[in-house]
Amino acid sequence: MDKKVFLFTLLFVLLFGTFASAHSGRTDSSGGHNCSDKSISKGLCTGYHYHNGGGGASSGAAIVNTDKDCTDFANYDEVVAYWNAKGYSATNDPENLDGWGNGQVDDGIPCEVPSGYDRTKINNSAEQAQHLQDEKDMATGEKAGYSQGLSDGYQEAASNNVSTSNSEAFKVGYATGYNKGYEEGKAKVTAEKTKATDDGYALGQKQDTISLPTAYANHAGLKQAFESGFSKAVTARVEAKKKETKDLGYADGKKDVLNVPKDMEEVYVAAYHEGYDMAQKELKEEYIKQGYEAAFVMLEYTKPNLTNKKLIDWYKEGFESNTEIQQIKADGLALGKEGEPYKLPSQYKNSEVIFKHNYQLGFKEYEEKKSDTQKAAVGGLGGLSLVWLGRRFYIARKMIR
Amino acid sequence: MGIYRTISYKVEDMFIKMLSKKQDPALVKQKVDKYRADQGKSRKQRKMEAVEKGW
Repeated sequence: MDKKVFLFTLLFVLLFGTFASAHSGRTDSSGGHNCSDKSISKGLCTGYHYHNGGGGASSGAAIVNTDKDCTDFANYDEVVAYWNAKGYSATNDPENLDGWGNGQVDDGIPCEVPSGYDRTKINNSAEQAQHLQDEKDMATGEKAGYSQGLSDGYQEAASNNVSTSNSEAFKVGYATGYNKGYEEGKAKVTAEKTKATDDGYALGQKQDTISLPTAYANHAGLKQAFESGFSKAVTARVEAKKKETKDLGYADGKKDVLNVPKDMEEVYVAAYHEGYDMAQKELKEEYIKQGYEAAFVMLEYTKPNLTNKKLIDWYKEGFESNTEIQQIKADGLALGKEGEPYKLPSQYKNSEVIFKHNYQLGFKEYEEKKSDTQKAAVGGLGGLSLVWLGRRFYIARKMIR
Repeated sequence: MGIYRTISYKVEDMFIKMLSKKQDPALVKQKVDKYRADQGKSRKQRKMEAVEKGW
């Protein structure tokens, strides 16, 4: 092969009259040479090494050598790119890039690999083979984990993304797939539970007896959601009917007509009575208040223009319960008794009739008292005058006897 | 003489005039003067006694 390459190169040089060399350094008579400082710094080789199986002389003049040497590459990435492009491996290394140029197989890693270099980039290396196996295991694990996670998530089981067997790559893939599947399963069952709740609610709006669909019978969470929705609807329906009955009772209570619906469950009868009693209480308060207010403007109780005795009694009860009016009466009477001019206090402006009437009573009393006093004074004076005149008359008679 | 006594004498004189129409006015006047003089003496005596008793 070397001969063919040599002849081809020679022909090329003769035809184009140019010289090309792919080798950066010459080999000695043994076909090898020492690694240059430049190659050492690039990490391509160390010390003396061979090329082309060694032994060939290198003139460095007209000979063209296409056989690559580690020192021919600018960096290790170029080495790997060349190695991969050629499809070389531990058992296929015609250019002896792997090993010491003596044709013996080393580890399938060309030249001197720099420390920390990602060997998985090197085709057919053990690291790359392991890497590929890991990727395969990880994909398999992820698939298995996803399946289990989806099932666990859907069944609402406790999350467990740990695989107890297989390689580490499989376990990592399993955990990733499991978590993804678990979340999807959980989302799926959440959506189905919402639908189950809605279905249960729809059924509960129609009937009182539950009928569980087979689709929800085999899943505890879905079954519970359906039952919950059903129960909620039944409760809502019962509450709505209770409210309706209570409102009816309230309306009857306002009209003061007790008319309990017949053939109705006890719970609804109780709701009717609750509404009725509430309305009766309000009605009573209303008429008591009316009576109470009337006491501020009525000098004496007057029966209201009502036909219902109960309402009249409440009205009267309110009228008689007004104790504020006693104070108004007392204040009006006191003002009148003092003989003061009439003046309505601002706090009594709504009950002027009461205040004024009592003021007038008091003032009348004041006038009468005043008149009596004057009469008594006049009477006393007249008496004294008479006595005095009598005395004068008696003395006059006595003197002329 | 005080106002009270003056008014009293006037009223008494009026009554005397009414009661003694058929009597001799001079005699009547004598009786009246005597009565009033006696009354005057009595009042003076009572005052003297009161002064003596230290009232």
